[in-house]
Amino acid sequence: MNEAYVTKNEREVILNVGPQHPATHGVLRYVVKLDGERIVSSDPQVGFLHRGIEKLAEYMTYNQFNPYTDRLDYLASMNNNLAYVMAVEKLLGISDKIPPRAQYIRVIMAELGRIASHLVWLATHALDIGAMTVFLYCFREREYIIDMFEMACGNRLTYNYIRIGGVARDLPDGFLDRLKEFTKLFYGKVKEYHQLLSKNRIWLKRTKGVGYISKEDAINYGIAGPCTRGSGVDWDLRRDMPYLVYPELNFEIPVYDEGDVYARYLVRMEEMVQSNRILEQCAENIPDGDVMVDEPQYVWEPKERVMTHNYALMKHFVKVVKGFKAPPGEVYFGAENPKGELGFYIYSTGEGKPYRLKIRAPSFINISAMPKMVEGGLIADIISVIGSLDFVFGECDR
Amino acid sequence: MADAVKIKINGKEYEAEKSESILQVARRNGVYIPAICYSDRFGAIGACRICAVEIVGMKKPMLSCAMKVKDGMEIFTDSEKVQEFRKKIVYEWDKFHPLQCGVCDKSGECDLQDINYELNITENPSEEAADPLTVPDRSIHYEWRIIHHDANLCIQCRRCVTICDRVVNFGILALVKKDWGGREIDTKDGKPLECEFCGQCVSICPTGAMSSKLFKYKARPWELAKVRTTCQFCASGCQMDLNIKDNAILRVTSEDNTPNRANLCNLGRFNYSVVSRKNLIEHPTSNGKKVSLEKAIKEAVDILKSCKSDEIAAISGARETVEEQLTLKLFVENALSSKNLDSFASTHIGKLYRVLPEGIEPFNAVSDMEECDVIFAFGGDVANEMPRLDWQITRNVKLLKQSKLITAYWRDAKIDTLGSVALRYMPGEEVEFLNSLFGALANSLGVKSSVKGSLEIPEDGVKLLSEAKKVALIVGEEALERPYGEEVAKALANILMLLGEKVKLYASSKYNNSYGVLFSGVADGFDTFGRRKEQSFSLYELPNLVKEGKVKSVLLLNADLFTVYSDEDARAILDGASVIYIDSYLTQTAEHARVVIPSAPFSMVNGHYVNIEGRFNSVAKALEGDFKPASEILLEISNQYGYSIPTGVIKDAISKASFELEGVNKEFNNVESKGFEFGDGLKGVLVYSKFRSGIFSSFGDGASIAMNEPVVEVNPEDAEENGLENGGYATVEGLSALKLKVKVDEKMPKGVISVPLWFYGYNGYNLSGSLNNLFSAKLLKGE
Repeated sequence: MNEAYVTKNEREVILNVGPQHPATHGVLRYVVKLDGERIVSSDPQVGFLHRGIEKLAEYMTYNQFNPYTDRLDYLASMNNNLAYVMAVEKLLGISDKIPPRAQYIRVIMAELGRIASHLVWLATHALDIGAMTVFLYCFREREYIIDMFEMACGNRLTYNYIRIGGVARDLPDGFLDRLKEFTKLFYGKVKEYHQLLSKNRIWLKRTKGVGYISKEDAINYGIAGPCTRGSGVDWDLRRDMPYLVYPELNFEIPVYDEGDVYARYLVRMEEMVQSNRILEQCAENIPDGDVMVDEPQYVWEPKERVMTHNYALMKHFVKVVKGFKAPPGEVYFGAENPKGELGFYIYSTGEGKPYRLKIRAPSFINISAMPKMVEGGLIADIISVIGSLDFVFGECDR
Repeated sequence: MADAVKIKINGKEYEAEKSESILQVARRNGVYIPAICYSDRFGAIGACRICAVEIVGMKKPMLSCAMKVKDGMEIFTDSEKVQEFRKKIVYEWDKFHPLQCGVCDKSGECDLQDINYELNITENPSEEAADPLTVPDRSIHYEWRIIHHDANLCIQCRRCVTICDRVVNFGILALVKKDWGGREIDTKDGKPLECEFCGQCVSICPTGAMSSKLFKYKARPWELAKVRTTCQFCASGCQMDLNIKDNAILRVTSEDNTPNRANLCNLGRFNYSVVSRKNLIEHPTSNGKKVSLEKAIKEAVDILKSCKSDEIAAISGARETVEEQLTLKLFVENALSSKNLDSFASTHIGKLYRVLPEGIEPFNAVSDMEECDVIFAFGGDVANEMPRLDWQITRNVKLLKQSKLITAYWRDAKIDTLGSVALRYMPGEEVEFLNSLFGALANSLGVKSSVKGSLEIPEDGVKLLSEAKKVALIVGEEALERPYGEEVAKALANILMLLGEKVKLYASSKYNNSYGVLFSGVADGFDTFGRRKEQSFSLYELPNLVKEGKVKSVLLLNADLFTVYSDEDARAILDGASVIYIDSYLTQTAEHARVVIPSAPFSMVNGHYVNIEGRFNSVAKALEGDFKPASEILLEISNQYGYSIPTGVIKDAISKASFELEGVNKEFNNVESKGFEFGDGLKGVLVYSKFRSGIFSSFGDGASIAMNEPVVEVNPEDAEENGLENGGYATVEGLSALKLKVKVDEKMPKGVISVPLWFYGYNGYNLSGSLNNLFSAKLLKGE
């Protein structure tokens, strides 16, 4: 049994934080063994939101599963869509054929999703520590992004916009103008957040030197994304295992070496700025053209064609009812999500449904490093560490 | 492996037998070759050509379904050349194939859609070269009753023609030349379809050309949930999937991997609406008045308590699950302490299995018939009694060509069209015939016995039987249901004993769980697990016992009295005794019984049916409903009676699921043939229809659309003598009279007429008397 559940002497107390707790960001049950206010050891318990999504995938066609990915990390649905769709495209061998416009749209959506996700992180992280104002500021800017998503696909939380072979539909008129407006405005907003927090004494006391994890430990625990980049690991899949049009874009990967909550805070703050830079470049460079690859065997054809062409209609029925037949084989694709590396592993036997689908969920893996971070710290540190790890239980429990 | 050869498919080496085709070897090893017209149900046709493969050393792609393997063959299944060849074929099929996927019933499970998807066809050069206005409209057959055929959707793969010919052995469909210059699937004679309406053509059609009218526009294939269950219409135990949407059965399908090879007959495939609400008993009644279930059960208990144990009789209709039968058995024997328990199975197979000789295997798998080089069908029209046996015989004789067929019956029947050695006798001569055959066989095998008969048996039949390595002996239900059925069974036992180990026995039965009755010991002379016991009570005696006042209360479980008794006897029982009737269907008995308790029909219970093979097939609950299974009702009655039935015993018996039924007869029986004394008139025979199994089957759409009224079959000469015409009406007189439609049939022997059983409102037993299927008849012309 984990030592967090066994007291060695009468000074030690076992405390349950969650699963219903305002600061656990979902249904995390965090068991801590305390010696006074000091944390002796701790253990995160997950699985309260388990829905068996990986198993469900085995009973669905590849297209049917796309909306389920929205419900993993529901704060970054666009990014989840992207990672899943890219994995399937890799399996189908059509990754190289995605039209450039679709690629740019995907990057725009992914980076907007990253900013939106980081804004919620900042809002709740600050709120947990006691800074109410930041919450309101962040949600104001997030609203701007959500409105843009709504323009593009009609939904505000679960988008299902990025589809196998491209994106569901082209960007609507006026979208790029709003995007440009947003990018222009957003630099100033990030500065506002910095003014509120970065030199705030309370903020610094609650975050500096708290939740430390070394570079070695970060690598050994397999944690990914901003959490590792706060510990000096210079690794970002967008640059190091590039996909889409990221190689054509100019951006930097922020890395801090301190390994504490404050370092992770700075990484994410800087990432929002870098994402904004990417958005600026995309808004300028986005080419015209199709947004769906022309592979009628695998992707939805335009409705007009389905309704007027025998062959399109026939295939449409097969694709809907039995699913397109992916070639047999196995693939793994990992994308740089706001939370870290979201990976999809697909094993196909050549049927219309995956034989096995495994999700590498960054939230799940990041939580596993939490006992290491809070060990020896104060009980209040749990709150700021939870905030700095930025997990979502839809993804962690799957 | 005999004649083993090695072949290479796509560069990989496989072992194969010489007799196998390339397609079979590929499929066995999981190598995919598309095929539209090929099916394991009937073998290669060679019409679709889509299964073509490239063979090294041959210029043209060859058809893998027809091509047998040769040593050292090198085959490529999806080279570019082959793909091009396949595409060209599909272009022809697609040429102006109507753009109807959106409204076509087949869409979503259509082979044409699949092959188009597979070959990734996006445009059609042959379509672009032609003018759509020149394409002639082809016929749409609305008049084929259950089956809808739209020739515009047909790709002419000839699957329906082949299955009708090689599996069903009806052969009514053909590719017929039409006025517009091309060919279409149509009936051979061009008349509206008149056939068995088994719907095999619908089940095998790759496109939506053949479809079921009962299912049309009701649902899309992907909306249907499939529940695997066992058919309730005869003892074949065909496995089928009920397709459910919104708590209703919308169609019935079957899969290729079932023991029945996806074959279903008219009743199985189309008669599912028999379990719709309008055919079910809605609420319990007592003396014709609606009462609550509690009250009906209390009433039943009061009736049973007011009688002495030997004044109570219980009859099972052999349609309920084994679980329900065992509950009945335990209730009657332990709670009522009555020995008066019998079942409808005693009218036929019960008689045979009571005198089964020692050493004869009681049950055989139907597919094992393929091991037999001779099939001997005796005493009934197999095609009417059990289509599954008919189709297995067809497979043996017509498709695999490995068995010879001998038929012994009083007329030429459908299976005789396969080419048979026909042994004929007149109705009433069954025992005499069997004795004569026994004598001739014993003589030819060199066995000494005193049993002899007076009929001449053709030598070729005797020779075939005596030289056969394995004989499948098919016993018709009709012969065993004769009033002298016990003598027929004994005479059959003699022949079984004579043939000894080389015989495989199949005894047909129209009651779906008549073999379960033998297992649960509900039939007279049988105990649980099919063990033997003394005979104590027979349903043959019931009408007299009631009339004499010896039986005062009758408990009926699914036993519709009008199924086996004449109206007079059935009414005598219903009026003379207090009848407690537990059943699902709104039969005549339900209208007159003292207490009626509705039970869940087969689609709403979990349980088992035992089929002709002795297999325990599971029946699965597919629909929700507020009906209680008969077993629960019996448990409740028993509890109130003061006895709690040990359900563990029932579970143990079912989980054992094996018979302890062994042959007892050791010596040849001396059977006296009494026969039946016909009067001066015609010889009347009651026969079974393939569209009925029990009167309740009349309630379903499939059966009633296929055949809504019974026909009396008459020899042309007899028809002329009595001034009857085909399609006219005649009054048949036996003990009483029935007005029936006339069918003049050359195959009927002169002086014999046949009347089918179990048409609602036409009780054949009124002509012959209860539990008898022979009568001396008169024919009068009706208007």
